[in-house]
Amino acid sequence: MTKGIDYRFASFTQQLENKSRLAFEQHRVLRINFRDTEVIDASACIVLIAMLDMIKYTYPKLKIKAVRPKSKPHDNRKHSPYDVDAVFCHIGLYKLLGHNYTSHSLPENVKCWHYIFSDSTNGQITQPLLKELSAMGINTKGIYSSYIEAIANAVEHAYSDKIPSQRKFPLKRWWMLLAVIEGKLSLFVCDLGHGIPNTLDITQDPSLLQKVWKLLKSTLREDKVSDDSSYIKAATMIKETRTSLDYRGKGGADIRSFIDKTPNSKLIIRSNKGAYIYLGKDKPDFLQESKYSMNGTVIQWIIPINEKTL
Amino acid sequence: MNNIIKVSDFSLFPGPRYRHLGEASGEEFRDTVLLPKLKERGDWIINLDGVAGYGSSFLEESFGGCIRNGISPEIMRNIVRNLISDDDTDLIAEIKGYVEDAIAKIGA
Repeated sequence: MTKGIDYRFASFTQQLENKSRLAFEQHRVLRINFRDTEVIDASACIVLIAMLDMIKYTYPKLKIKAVRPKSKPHDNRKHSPYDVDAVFCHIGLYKLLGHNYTSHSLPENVKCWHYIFSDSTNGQITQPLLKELSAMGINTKGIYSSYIEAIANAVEHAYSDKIPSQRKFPLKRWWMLLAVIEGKLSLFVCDLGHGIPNTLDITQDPSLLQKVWKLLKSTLREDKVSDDSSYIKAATMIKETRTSLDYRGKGGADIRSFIDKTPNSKLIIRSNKGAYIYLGKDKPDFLQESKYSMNGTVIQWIIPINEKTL
Repeated sequence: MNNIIKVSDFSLFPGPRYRHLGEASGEEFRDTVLLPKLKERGDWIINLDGVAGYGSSFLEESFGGCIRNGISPEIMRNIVRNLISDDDTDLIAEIKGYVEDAIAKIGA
């Protein structure tokens, strides 16, 4: 997912959905083969966790077997690729599938990976992640303000019944993952809902949106503003636009504000076919479209850390 | 001093805007803590420190929501003047904005 939603990812998630349903209907065991999985992108990892959680909820009696990735020889390099099997063991992915597998090792670059989930906005359950962040020297108040808004948005809008859709959402859940990759911390908030491009028009005031689009058109090519990525950008501009319209100072906590206050940090929002990359105020931003949809939203804050604190 | 309201006594993890969205919402803080106290008297000092952080919707619903629920602009402006926020000084300007927006919207 690093460079957008590619065919392999879209095809894998589609297969996972279809084969889970088939296995459930035919009373068969679903077998997921990770044998040849050598690396997993952290954003793909949180989507995988979310999908498996959704499948387990939808088909509670479905038995799932996981073929584990090949274990890797011990690697002491500082930025060695992380051991996928150790990641799955440590974050509890096998446990989610009903297996009590343990890893022969717990490499340093895997220890701080954690995931949590909830069906409501609950700041307290993020406490273990906040403790990890604090130990790494991150401004936890700033990041809390950003992610609690992202979580509240997911709870309020991501699975809204007001949005016409052929998809069904038996589980209205958000998932959060903390991972450290190559000296940078990534914090993800994920949902498998309608996606920002489908919710924005229905959840926001039309007159406010009109002003956002006008502002966007001045920075983008006219034909680009209907892309999913421009919808994502528009969503991040709602508060900024609202505050500038009301002639008062810059607002505080929205999902971009932490990036403005944290040098060398980055925000990536992937939603359906679009991706929006924000590097901070007065810096260029990037919009990207994929051919395939991820059917949901993943918000990622990337923050440089002092590796001595790990 | 007995005129201090500590948000940390309400929750260490302030949550979303509305009750139906989750724990420790701005709506709950406003209805169970702020409104009853502000109806008693108006000289409260609100201490925002000691919590994990604030989403902007929690703050707007708590403070802007007091205006929408009948607390006078004078009392709310006084509350804003007396806010304590050593952990994040930007919060005071943000809350002031929400209160002034709400005052403007009711046309006071």
